[in-house]
Amino acid sequence: MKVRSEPEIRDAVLRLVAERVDEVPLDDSASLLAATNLDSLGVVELLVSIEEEFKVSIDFVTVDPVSLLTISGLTSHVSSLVEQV
Amino acid sequence: MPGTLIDTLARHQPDNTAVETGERKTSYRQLLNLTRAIREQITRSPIGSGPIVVADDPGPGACATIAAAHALGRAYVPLSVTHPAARIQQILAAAEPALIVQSDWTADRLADVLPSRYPLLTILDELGKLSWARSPEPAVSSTSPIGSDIAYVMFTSGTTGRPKGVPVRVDSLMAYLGVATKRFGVRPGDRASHFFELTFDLSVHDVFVTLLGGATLVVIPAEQRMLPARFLREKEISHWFSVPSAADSLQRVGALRPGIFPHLRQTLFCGEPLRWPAAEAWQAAAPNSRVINLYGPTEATIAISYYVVPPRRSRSDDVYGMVPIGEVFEGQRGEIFSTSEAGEQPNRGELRLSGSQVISGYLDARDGRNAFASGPDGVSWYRTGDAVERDATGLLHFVGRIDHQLKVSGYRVEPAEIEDAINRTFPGCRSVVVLCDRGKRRGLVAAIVCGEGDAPTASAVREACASSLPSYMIPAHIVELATWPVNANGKIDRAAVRRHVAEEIAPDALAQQGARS
Repeated sequence: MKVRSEPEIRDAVLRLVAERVDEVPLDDSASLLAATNLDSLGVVELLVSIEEEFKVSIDFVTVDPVSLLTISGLTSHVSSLVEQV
Repeated sequence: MPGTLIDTLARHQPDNTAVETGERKTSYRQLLNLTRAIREQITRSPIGSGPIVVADDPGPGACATIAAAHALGRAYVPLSVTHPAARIQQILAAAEPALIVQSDWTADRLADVLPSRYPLLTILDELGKLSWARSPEPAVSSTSPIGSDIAYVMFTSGTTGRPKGVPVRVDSLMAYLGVATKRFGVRPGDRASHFFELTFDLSVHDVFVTLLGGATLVVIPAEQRMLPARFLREKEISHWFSVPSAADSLQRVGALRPGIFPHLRQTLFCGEPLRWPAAEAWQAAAPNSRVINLYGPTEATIAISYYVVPPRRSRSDDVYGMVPIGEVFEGQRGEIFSTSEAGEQPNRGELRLSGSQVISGYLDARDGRNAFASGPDGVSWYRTGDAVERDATGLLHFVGRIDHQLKVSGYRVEPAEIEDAINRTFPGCRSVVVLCDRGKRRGLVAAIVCGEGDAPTASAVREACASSLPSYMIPAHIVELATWPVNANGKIDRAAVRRHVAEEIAPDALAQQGARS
């Protein structure tokens, strides 16, 4: 599989977020819980879809969930996991 | 019978940590001193009778304010600073407090929200220091409907379009604590979670049971509640209490791996149905923990029935995939009332509750019109609205609701309250709010039918809700419908609306269904 660049990962994350929210926040560092209509269950579903999209497994036992609540945080975390593959 | 919180605080090891918030640790000595300082400010000042509002986030300040109120024989009323100003003001107007206590964390957020007629005490970040943000004026006569027999008042979602005040008596709280400290109690050295916001009545368990037992109350940051695995491990929590959604979410992302919570010795779930798969995955993740399912409406003081999850599930334990709500606490009564005469099994119907844990009535008597029923023996029964089934072994199982009430992460939500907020703002439209538990449209969905003109945008609808409702009551999705599906009686068919918005049936099929009825 072709390794995706960070901007490509960000685009794919944005697409998955856009499927679930009315308006994608303009600020990549805004909390999805605060800045969108997603609630905590919605965020959990988004995280599962991101794992499926990138075929990665986020370790929710060690990762601080706060770092997964923003588009920038998700992009950098997925990037670090994709690089390890 | 447990003693007063303030007396118990004085008996614990003064150097043990009472409350842990992030890196900050508050010892029992510091907590006792702060409680005494708050009590002294209140007794020394010209403050009328009436409840004390706790306008603070969970933490040592809130614990001390609650303990001080309890010691003074005054009720406390929690406020969430994240709630909209209109809701906070509605609650204050209903409670008419003698005093509001805030922290300097919450003071900024509340500055433009709190009406100026209430005395306002601020707990400064340097613990133990208090400062009057608004000093009490002498000779203010109390108008509060909340008497000294009340321990706390929780405001929940109401069907009348405004929050419903639930006053819980001191003797009800003592009855609950008598059972809870005996069955689910903690000891010095234990580390108990403080998961619930103060406006959620399960937080009363967190605060009282933990501090009465001399354990450490570990506050979970709001952003960690969604997926609390890391918090549980890092903080070495021994006693966990949350809504089952926390287990559902962790299981959904594959985090409930066997043995990951070795420190856990007791887990309590309450607030919404606990699914067997989540309970079993949790048990495997926490092999050293008892897992207990609690049940109880706010009106019956925190929880009134319990079920200890056995190592192996038997067929009779499993009704509709849900863990039983078990048996009613000793000294309390739960009876099943058949909701319809035709074809109803006697062991299935509405659960009604009576006993010392059940409230005497609502803060506003209008809210109680249909909530209480008188039994043949003259006993007053609280109608829970929960449909339950009693199995052959006598255990109670939650089956569903007999009305439209919904649960969002354990919070009670009356769709009527959200619909009222939408319909008032957009008088040409009618809305129906449903809850979807799967698919991309997960969460609360408001379906709207507008008579004429353009339907409001989704963000306009959400703004209308956000001006008067807490965030958990704001619909995640807004769906415009051409017409309502109706049932045989010509009423809006909420189940059909839910199926439609969850995209389970095509819009064409819905139109046909509507035309047929």
